[in-house]
Amino acid sequence: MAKSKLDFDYVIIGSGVAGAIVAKRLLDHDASASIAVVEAGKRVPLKDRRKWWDFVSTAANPYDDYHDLPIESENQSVGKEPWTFRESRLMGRGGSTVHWGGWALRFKEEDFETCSRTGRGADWPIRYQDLESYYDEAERWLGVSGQSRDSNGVVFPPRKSEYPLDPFPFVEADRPLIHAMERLGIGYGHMPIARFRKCMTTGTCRYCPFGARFTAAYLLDEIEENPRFTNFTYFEQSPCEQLLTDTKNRVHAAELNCTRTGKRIKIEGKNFIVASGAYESPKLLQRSVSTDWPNGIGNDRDLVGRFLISHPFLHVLAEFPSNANRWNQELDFPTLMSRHFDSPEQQAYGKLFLFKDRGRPSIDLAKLMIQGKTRAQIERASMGPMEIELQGFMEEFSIFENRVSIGTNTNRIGLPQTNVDFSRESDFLDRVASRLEIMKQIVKDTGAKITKAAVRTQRGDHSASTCRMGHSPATSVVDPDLRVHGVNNLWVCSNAVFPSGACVNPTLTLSALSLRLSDKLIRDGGAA
Amino acid sequence: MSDHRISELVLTDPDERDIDWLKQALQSALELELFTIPPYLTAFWSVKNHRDPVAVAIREVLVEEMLHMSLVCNMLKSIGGQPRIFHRDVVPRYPSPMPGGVKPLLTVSLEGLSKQALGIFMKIEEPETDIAHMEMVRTTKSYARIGEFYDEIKLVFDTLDPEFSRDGQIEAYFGESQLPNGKYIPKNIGSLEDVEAAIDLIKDQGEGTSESISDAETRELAHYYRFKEVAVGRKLIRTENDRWVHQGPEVHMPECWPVAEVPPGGYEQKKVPADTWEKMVDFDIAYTKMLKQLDIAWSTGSHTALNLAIASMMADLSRLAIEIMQVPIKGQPFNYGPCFRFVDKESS
Amino acid sequence: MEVLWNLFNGIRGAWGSDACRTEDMASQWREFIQLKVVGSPSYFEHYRSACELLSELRQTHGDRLYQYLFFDGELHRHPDARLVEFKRYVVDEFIRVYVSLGGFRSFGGKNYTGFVSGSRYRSQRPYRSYEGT
Repeated sequence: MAKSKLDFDYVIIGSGVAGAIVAKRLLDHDASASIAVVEAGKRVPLKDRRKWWDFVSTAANPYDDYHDLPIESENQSVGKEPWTFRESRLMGRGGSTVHWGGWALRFKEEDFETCSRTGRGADWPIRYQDLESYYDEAERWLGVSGQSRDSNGVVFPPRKSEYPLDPFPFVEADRPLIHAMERLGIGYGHMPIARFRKCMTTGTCRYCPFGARFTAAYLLDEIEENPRFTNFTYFEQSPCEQLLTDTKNRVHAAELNCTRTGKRIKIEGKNFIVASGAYESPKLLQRSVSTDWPNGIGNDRDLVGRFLISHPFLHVLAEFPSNANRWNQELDFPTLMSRHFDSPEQQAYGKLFLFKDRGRPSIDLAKLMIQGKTRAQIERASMGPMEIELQGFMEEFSIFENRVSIGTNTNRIGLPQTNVDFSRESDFLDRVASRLEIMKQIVKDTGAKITKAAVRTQRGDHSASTCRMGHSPATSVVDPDLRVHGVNNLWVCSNAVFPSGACVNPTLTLSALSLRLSDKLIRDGGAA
Repeated sequence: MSDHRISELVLTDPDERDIDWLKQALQSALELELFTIPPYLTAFWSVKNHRDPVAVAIREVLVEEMLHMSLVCNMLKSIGGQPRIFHRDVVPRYPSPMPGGVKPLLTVSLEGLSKQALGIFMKIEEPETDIAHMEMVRTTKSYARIGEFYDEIKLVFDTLDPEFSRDGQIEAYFGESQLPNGKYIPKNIGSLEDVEAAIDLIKDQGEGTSESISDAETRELAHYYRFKEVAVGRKLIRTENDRWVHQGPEVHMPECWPVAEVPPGGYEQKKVPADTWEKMVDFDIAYTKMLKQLDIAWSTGSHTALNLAIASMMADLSRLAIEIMQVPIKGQPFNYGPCFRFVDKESS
Repeated sequence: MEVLWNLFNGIRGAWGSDACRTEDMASQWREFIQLKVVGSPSYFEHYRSACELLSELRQTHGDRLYQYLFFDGELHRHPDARLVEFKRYVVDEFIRVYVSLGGFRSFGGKNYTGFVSGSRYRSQRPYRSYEGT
């Protein structure tokens, strides 16, 4: 089908895991489909040996420049709870999967019924079973290594398939926590992790020289390198200013600001998919104001941007007096995790997903050498006190008042400032305390001395729910097929659509939703 | 064309063996190591469940073959030679006897895992004495075993005591870097000790030593015995009087894709379904590119090239091969398999 | 190049053991230097100046050169800015590269940040693992 240069079957705003999966799946189905992927940020050079050496020799991170700056002009936190962005998202080609840890967990059955079961937050309009086959497929796309059964032989959530790749064995340093959990009857398992076969355990997962950790940027590479995908266009450094409607129920164009050239362009399309994460997706809808949509597209009921949630991060740090075996984490990701308290019984108090810190125990040998310590001194240090840390994510329930909106400034890549208004519920600290008690009990059982037990300052990682899905426009922004209520050709595909966030990392669930949306678009031919 | 280079090299008068002999011998050894990889890969991919212990055993053998190949390349570089990997004449073809005239009666082809294929693998790795039977395996004395050939190479290194250079070698990370006792495995070759250690490793991992069939440190069986366990159907165990016998737990032949023996020269386009053909071509291109990357790695010392080669083997090649292996050949109880053809005019 | 390689070997001399040898780090170290020189920002000047400094310092310190560089010299706060830069951009980076390429082994363990430990699809694990009990 011949198309003018700026007219597409599908316009996808955002090149993260959601946008890349949808684009790839649509092209796999029809190589000639005309698809635009629009990205505000730049391209992180990947598998670049010089960058890798810099990372090893100077700790310079090749994508530092793609994170939010810790300054007011980029993001504002106006609620009672300070909200920090730090390295919580990556704005560039491939999105946050360029820097993610690759923890790829499924939500559990009860996570889809949060409100019915706890009276808080919201239910999903779909069930786990609706997503199960897409989870299988998402695990294959992402190359997930794992093991279905935990130490008690329990498989949850239920699954018909085994993981596509074998799990990484536990590191030796997991031993104290494993033994403690065994003594306490707590089930534990292998962290499911997105690492392809070609993983060479370099310990530099944050910048893998082999490309062994999944990132959406590789899907885009595959698309761009495939000569059969002739009608694919990638718009780089082009923040989408707004979506334009010609009638109330139809978007016809997206206005882009090409920051490299300073030009504004309009691209037209039949179908629009907003895949811009939990901050930028609602902000784009909010700023797409017209006479048809005076509060922004899909926002007649002031729900866009509301119900913001994330995962409070709990940690219990402890110390052993010595490290006779010179244990070291030896990998750049945790191998040990437990979903024992990620259970229906715990749901009302805040489910708890536990994992061992990927950074402890560790000893920075080079640092000691640089400081001029002798071999004997380093020997002593490497066998000296050993720290371990048990960490956890707690489930948080969404409330109407917590929201994302647009500030007055523009950040350095041309996106409007993010304004976060977030406050905790009154029982938050009680729930945190009860979760920390669970964690302390485990850590205490290892025999180590607890030196700290706390909840960290809230960060923006794993944010969700800001355009949540539901059956009714009165309580949700998108319908169960992720289509914005009241608009025929506009979908949101992002963590923003999650009605609840469970207590595990969202990426695998988002990937499954992206595959499901693609199939829906293929089956129905979009809105065309 | 019959290739007797190794037999001829072994027959050369010891006094006439010079540095060029050594370079030729190492190039031949490299070709031998390269030759084993496609048949083992085909067998490995044909096992449906890659977690099956038999698949795992073949995979380990493969990784070690790649380590051997890298050590041979480094030995060659260490004396000023240049490994030839990306060349029409070097790339193995199947079915064929092994390069250099080693075991001329043995024909190796590309086929799925079967008892027959295992029999051939055992012959490739065959030791002088199968100590699990305490009987001589070899019946004729006129041909060189691979281990013997390596012994000759070691001897010539000792005699010539050549000048070594560590430049341009690539210390590959295949296989172990260190034995459990803390001793390094020399990956960069720059002395006679390094040569000896490297050749001992290659021999021990391949056929085992005459005293032991498993590595004392790692308890890993030599390749020959790992294949034999599957062929016999029993694990090897050590008896009280210190003999090795096939009386351990049963080893089952895993469920495999019934991959037919790939015909000489590979499949013809007109006999293969169009989409399968497309995959075969993609496979051959990816394989050729991989060889090219390996060649670049050892001619420029580029780790980038080595990484690309490894990534390609672990990603593109395996994906395409497994897809091809699932396609039945019309009218036959067998499936297709990848052809490992060298593509002369591959782009970029 | 040889001067720099000697410096790298000096690091092993100061902190190494039989558990690792710099010869098996050679190709990666060489790649590191090449990429640092041709890539951006280029370290050419750092390395050129390092060679000069090393030859000057060798005159002063003789056989105790590396003892001075790694332990006694407190180069990071030396009044001569050239030495401060040399310490930061050459010595310290070489130390990190040395540790990552296998130097960590002298202090135990099988894997470390930056070390290419190999595929996990082997019976011998690329890192120290917990295998039950």
